[in-house]
Amino acid sequence: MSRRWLRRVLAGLVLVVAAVSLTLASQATPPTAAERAHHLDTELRCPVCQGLSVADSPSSTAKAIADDVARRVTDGESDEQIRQYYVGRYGAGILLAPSGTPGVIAEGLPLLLAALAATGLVLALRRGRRRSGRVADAQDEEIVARLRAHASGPADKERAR
Amino acid sequence: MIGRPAHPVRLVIGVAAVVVGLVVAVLVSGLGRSSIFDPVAVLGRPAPADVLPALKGGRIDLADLRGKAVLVNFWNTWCQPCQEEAPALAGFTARHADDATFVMVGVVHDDTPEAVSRWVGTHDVGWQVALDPGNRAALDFGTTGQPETYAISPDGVIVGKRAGPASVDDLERLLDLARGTP
Repeated sequence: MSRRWLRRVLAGLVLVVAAVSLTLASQATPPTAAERAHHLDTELRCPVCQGLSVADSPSSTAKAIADDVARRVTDGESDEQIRQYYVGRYGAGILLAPSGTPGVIAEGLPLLLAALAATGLVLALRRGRRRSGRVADAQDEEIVARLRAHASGPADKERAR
Repeated sequence: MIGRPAHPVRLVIGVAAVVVGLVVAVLVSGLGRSSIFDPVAVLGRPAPADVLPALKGGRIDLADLRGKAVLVNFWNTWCQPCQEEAPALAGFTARHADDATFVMVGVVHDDTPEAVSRWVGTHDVGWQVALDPGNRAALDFGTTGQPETYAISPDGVIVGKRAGPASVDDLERLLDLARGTP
């Protein structure tokens, strides 16, 4: 196995280990009720504010929503049920982050585009490096020598006279 | 044989493609986000069945109002547009004072019972006034401020909404919606 391949295999292994570690870490401890409620508060837009989340707003309405969310979490409602309660009353605009199919497009497409752009850059750099690394072989040297001899011949003759 | 030398233009094009890709990515990530709330999200939904403390004691159960055309007006004493709207509410309720098929409930949120009692004592308030501790009813109706007025049909469905101060004509239109006679 060449060094280059070894490096690639190692890089792949590092990525796999990192991905597995992240997945395990995210599943290690389920969020507490307070953590779930706070996370939902960060997702909900304060309806009486300018672009603030419920978590960030000091308004009484935001506080009422935060209290309501905490109560719903304690009552056993799922995150999606709680989101839908607010979407049902305020429309999808109550969600700061899109969810469902539009969310997949809005969040997945940028990642895809970024990945494509990064791949394009890597390919362009590798191509440039491969070209610049080429070495002249014997045939090239011979052609160059012949051309030089042809170009300098008549001048040398003149100088000799 | 020596190939063509690496062309810097291609590298520049590659970098430009990356930049364009990132810009598009940032722009696309803004899709699906809305800065406004849907003003008609609650229309067609069953009216919340909140049980609210009445200002004069006892409770007002919104579910008990089924069978009547109902207007629910959210307001409070410190809200200037609510003060501007008050004469229209007074005129409108006076006009329908003898109508047994209609009821109007003023729901006060973000205010104290004392301030509301003072205000009601000095104004012509011919409608039921309920308090909304914890803003529970305001959230159930999906209010985004005050004043806001909701029309509820006799079968308990929200059929109309007015955000901001309503005139007598606005209130009449909401009542027509509640009765199903627009």
